[in-house]
Amino acid sequence: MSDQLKLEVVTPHRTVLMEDVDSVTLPGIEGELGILPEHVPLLTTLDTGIMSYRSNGKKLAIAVHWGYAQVEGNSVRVLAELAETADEIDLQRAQEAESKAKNVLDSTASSTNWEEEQSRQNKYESKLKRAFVRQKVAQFN
Amino acid sequence: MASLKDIRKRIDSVKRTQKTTSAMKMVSAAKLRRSEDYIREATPYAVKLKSVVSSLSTRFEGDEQDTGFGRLFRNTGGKRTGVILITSDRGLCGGFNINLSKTLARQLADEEVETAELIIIGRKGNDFFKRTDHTVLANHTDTNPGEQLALVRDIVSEFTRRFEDGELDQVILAYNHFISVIAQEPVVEQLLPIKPPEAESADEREIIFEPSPEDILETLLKKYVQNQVYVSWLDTVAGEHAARMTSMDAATKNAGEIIDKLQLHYNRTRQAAITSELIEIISGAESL
Repeated sequence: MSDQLKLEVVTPHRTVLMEDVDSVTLPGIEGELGILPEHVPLLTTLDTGIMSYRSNGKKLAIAVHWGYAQVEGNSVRVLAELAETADEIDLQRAQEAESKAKNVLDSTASSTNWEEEQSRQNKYESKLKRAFVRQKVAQFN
Repeated sequence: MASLKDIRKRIDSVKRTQKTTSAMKMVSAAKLRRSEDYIREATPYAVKLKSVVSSLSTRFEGDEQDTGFGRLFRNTGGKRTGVILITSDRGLCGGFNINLSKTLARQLADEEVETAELIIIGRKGNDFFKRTDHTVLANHTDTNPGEQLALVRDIVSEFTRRFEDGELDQVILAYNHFISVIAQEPVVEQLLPIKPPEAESADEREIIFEPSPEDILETLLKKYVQNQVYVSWLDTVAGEHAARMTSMDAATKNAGEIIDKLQLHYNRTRQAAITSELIEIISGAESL
């Protein structure tokens, strides 16, 4: 019996991570999920958030932007739309994106069409969230 | 008979053509390598997504025809068809595009679909289908690799929505499968209604779903369809470069053969001219 989890993070473009880890915390759509070895089978949708894992006593994080996670036996597969490790994140760019998104959200409605305005708000809210998560991950270590 | 100058001119022109074809071959070889890398990087995601879907495939059985994800399996047997056709933007790659277009046209004819609605990626497929009775809804050309995924998402969600609303009875995907550098195969396959992949080893244990199984399965299946299209596109791009590489290689070889023949012809003609000049001089000298 293994006391480690096999963690795989893949996106449509590439494999981000493949490692044996001790535990994983996933940003599930209904809240954070901690996964330890021998977890029951689980399939969940992931929100934009911070996925952290513990490996060899170190705690590391990856920014995940929407996807699925499947836990089966001792393997955790994360199928993310986009995933970035801390090294890959441009902190300055994320900060700029955050302030830009904030500005747009604070400004008054540019369109009188309610639906248009709504979808614009949603877009910038998710941008804001992504920027926020990126910064958190970049400053994680 | 062609003069020496004419032959020389032809040799030069064929040499220039040969330079172009061999350069195109090199460019395609480099691009092929890169697109093979793209495929390699996209494969793990595709494989895993497929295995997630197939491990859940026992849940698809049953006839929940009108609720949530059940609609994606609904088989009405109608003829209203949507097609996603993936071809290349440029020619000079042998029968690559035309074979695919013809295979698709034949299949549509076999299924007695008279006017399918097509969304075509690549200029070459559009050139073929705009002359037929089928409707071309959109033609996307010169797409950057970075924009592929977003475009696929838009195209697929549009078709999926219309399929769910009952406006379409089936959606077909046509692309070139990259087998090897010398072999590409036109593939026409059904996207919707979804044909679930074969279950490998159905996990009998109870699985926890978060949120509900219905919500997850619906988005997961749509993602699965999208990914199928995306991977097929990468496949086609690699196939295009491979096809261009082989056909340009053949063109370069043929040009070489023509140059050899012309050179031989040139030498013989030159020899003949010298001989006839000599005969003239000798016979002139003799008559003195």
